[in-house]
Amino acid sequence: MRTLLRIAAASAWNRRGTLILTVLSIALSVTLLLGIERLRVDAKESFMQSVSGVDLVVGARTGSVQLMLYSVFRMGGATHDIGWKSAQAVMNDPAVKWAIPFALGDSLQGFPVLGTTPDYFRYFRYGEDKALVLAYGRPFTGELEGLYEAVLGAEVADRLGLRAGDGIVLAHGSGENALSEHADKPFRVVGVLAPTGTPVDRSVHVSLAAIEAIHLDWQGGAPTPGFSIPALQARKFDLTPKTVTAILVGLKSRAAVFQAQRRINSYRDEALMAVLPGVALDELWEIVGLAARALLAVSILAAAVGLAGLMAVVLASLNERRRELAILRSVGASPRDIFILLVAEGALLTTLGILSGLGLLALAGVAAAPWLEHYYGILIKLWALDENAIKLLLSVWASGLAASLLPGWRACRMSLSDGLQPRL
Amino acid sequence: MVSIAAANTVDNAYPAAPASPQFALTMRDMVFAWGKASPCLDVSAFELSAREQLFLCGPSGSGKSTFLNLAAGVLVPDAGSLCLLGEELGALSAIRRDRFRVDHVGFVFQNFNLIPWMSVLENTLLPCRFSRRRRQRASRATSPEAEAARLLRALDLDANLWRQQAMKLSVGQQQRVAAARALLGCPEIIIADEPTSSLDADRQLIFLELLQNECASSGAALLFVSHDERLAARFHHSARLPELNRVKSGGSS
Ligand SMILES: Nc1ncnc2c1ncn2[C@@H]1O[C@H](COP(=O)(O)OP(=O)(O)OP(=O)(O)O)[C@@H](O)[C@H]1O
Ligand SMILES: [Mg+2]
Repeated sequence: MRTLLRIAAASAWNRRGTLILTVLSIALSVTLLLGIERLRVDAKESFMQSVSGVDLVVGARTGSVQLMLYSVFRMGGATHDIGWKSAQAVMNDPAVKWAIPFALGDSLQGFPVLGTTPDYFRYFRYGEDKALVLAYGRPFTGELEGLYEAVLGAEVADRLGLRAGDGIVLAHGSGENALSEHADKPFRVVGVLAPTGTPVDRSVHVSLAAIEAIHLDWQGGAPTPGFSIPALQARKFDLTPKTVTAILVGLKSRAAVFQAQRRINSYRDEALMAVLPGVALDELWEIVGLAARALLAVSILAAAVGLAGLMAVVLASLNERRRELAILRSVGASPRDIFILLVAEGALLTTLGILSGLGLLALAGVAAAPWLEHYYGILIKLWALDENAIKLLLSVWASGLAASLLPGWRACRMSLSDGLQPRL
Repeated sequence: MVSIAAANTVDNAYPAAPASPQFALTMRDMVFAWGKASPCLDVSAFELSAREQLFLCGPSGSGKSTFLNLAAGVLVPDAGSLCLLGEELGALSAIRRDRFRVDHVGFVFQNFNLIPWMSVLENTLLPCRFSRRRRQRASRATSPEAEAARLLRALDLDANLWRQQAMKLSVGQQQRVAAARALLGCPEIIIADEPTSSLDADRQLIFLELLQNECASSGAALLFVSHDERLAARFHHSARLPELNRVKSGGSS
């Protein structure tokens, strides 16, 4: 057996030119397969951690997925807001430890504007319990003094080239359909958040009172004709918000979550809805993750192509090895030995392919990890071969072995029909 | 056919070794056909004594290679008896036959004898890699490597060639390496299928003499096949396959 393996290795070494290409193609498919699987797992994890530490998300009664979409991902618009009175009731619930109310609806060049309270910077968590950090500047104060202050997410500042001290003008409406601008009440950037890889990066944060102030002289989504309140005047009005879009709630005790949820859902004065973000994110991932699963399917195909290549190369080399196999037969190798020789070669190539695939993956990971984390907030765990990845690897290995059974069988038939001399 | 029943001095330490067989190879009413075709060979009687050196000739396509494949147990007769060293090959399982062959038979072919990417020495040592008996017998005096070196030297191969890859050798040198390999570990019978056909006339004779001498000194029987009848003069015994074979259709010169 050891002799056979030595011969297999030496023979493979002799044909290294072709075989290295085969190993490379297996390596690339393994890299692709595991890389995409890794990315899928880590992307899901990052997605699931877009918010963390939030026990309930409260909004008007819509679908839970929709509520997550606009509250966590700040996508699309809320069809209904909730009244300030109801919001107060939720925030003052005895089980609530902290609550971050926010109002959506305006935008800055396509980036959503989030009206909220300074608690946002204190309590909001993402990833594995990470707090928001300011890259520079300070949070808005939430007081009348700094009414028109804005804190930008990292991507907003980056893409629009804004820095602390710059002035910005918000637009009414969200996304690309924003029509009219709140040009009479410009804001000043006071701080920029460090990148988080979550939708926070794409948000512009202002105080709830500021949202109220810029809409004082508005009615039904348009400036009231012939009536306007100048920016400074606005401070004299009651700037208590009339509505908010959603509230992120942290409870004193996680055990109370279902009770609190039931209490909010059955709130009598208004139709409210409280959802558990984990459950809703799971539902949302079912939709978003479809693309990731399709990608995985493609990479499985790529791996199959790599292994078919292995089979083709080993089969094609049989003719050129006919002589070698016949000589081995004549010096005492049995057809079984010939079979083992061929299968060992397949196993050797697959193993080398998998190992170099893992190497490539590690290299690619090292190269791409900072970039992925910075821009997509995906934390790649380089050395974490989870159960799934190991299963994938084992099935690649087994398929490689299986792919060399056919050449092995052919070789062993060939060596029998050739007798002691190859028939060319 | 004459046979010299020489005193058998073959060492029988190995359990599978037949007990001092008088004949290296015997055939009785042996019939063989390729697949479903009409028989290719039908030999009523053939004997090769231990230590005998026999020249077997016949025109191309007369079935010489088929005959040797049968003698070596690569092919199995369809009817009749074929005994190699007293062992009925047809009665052995395929695996036992493979073992038996490597333990007791050495081969030299017309060409393509060596694995091109292996060194000369490794090529020579191949039988010892697959057969424990050959390894044991090769290490009786010293070690397999030393025995291989002795044979290579006896076959006039320079020591500086031993580490070379086989493909870098001339055809004549390759044939001598093949002979050394066939002889290593003292198999009881050497089967040579036209080993001189790709050599020029001078080298043919030199090679044949080296091979015959080594067979004689190791006590191996030699079954030497060629279509070149001139070589018959170099042997005490010779036979013509078309005369042995009762099937008359095959064969064209
Ligand atoms: N693998 C095979 N399958 C089917 N028929 C074969 C096979 N090998 C040989 N034969 C047939 O057996 C007959 C004898 O062939 P063989 O090779 O034994 O001749 P040979 O005497 O060795 O010829 P040469 O001197 O050219 O080597 C031929 O008619 C050939 O067609
Ligand atoms: Mg022939």
